[in-house]
Amino acid sequence: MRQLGLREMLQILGIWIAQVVVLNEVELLSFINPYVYPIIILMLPVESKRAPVLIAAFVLGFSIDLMEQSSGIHAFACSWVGFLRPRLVRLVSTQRGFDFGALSLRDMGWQKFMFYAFSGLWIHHYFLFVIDEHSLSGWLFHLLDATYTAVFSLLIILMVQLLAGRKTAASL
Amino acid sequence: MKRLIDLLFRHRFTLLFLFLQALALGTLYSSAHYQRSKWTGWTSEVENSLFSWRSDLRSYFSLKQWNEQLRQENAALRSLMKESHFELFSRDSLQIDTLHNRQFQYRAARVINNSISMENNTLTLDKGRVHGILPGMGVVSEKGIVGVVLSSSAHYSTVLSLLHSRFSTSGHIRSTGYFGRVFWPGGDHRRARIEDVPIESRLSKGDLIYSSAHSSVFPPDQWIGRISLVERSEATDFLSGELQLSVDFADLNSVYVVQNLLRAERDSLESLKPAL
Repeated sequence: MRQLGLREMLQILGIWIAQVVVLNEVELLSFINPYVYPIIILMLPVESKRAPVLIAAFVLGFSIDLMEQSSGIHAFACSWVGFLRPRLVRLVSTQRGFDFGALSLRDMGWQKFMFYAFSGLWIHHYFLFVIDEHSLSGWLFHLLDATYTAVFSLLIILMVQLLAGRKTAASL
Repeated sequence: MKRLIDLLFRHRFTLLFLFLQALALGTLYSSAHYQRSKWTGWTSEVENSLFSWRSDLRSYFSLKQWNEQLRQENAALRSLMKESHFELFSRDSLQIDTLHNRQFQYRAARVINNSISMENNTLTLDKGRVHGILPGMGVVSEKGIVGVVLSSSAHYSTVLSLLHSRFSTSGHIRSTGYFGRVFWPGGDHRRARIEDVPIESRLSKGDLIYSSAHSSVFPPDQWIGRISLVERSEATDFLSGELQLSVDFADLNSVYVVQNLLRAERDSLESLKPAL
């Protein structure tokens, strides 16, 4: 298993801070609050074992909960992402295995990366909204809400990946 | 037994997942707010510095709104400037303006403390006696009336907010000219009540309520609110109504303290006993 380099750790910290400080304050069209931080889980190295990824996802979610004072809902949603990540990775790989180096826009190409990132974000948003509202009754509303929000989150991620330049995009 | 352990081992990832889910839900449903009680110790330092950083940043998001507010205020003030007035008489024939003596003196102040959730709410302003602020002066914001100065120290003063059970003022219905008593019944900080409005005023939803000249504290025609509900009491021939306050007390930053320069004169006149 590949260790995370200093640069990648700084990038993770950067995304985390951006989420807590800036993005949590944004309300697009008055109801969309984009969450980009689940991309940290999604972009951990391909070779990572699934259990550490799951635990890392939970810890990440819990850290956002601490900042948001939202007690457990992000941890809940993130552990779903960590749990389903191996399946998502299998979906985007070919039968022979991964034909890309890292789970990033540059290595996967537009189509695969957008599918992968969107699915991951959508899972996170969906479970976040469901648990936040404490109800399954508004499931259709949650489906739509998760979709809108995931589109915006993905747009932000793509913009950052493009703006950050090829070098940075490659490593995370 | 071995098979059970095998089974558990085979599904260890799912079990880990379920365990984490349970942990998250436990945190969510435990009434003791886990993170508040237990983690406060080591996170509060980081949190507080981050929170203050965040609130600094947050203020950037409302800059546009503030600018708009300031622009409107500037426009209103500009129209009050001497340059905005035409001269009724040429300068050489009349040196002293006897037509326009100032009655209301405005002083800008900032709200440094504010409550809206209590039964009796007060504000604290960052100006006091040194700046000429004395008890009894009215406090308005650019959106409408806010309260009355309760007491003032050298550099600060406290204000009896409109959201106080002791606050009451005379409201003037813009469309018909009738008056009523405006007060706050408690509860919602966006709603007040108007009572004792004569029935012939035909008070209706949407009517605008302004401060009236009955008050010696507030300048006339300061906005108070908009009628959102009208009730008729069976016992008396008066209407009462609920009004949506024009000032958002939850978002109150800058206010003006108004001094009625003729108040002493008016009060002493009004307190004269009729000499019969």
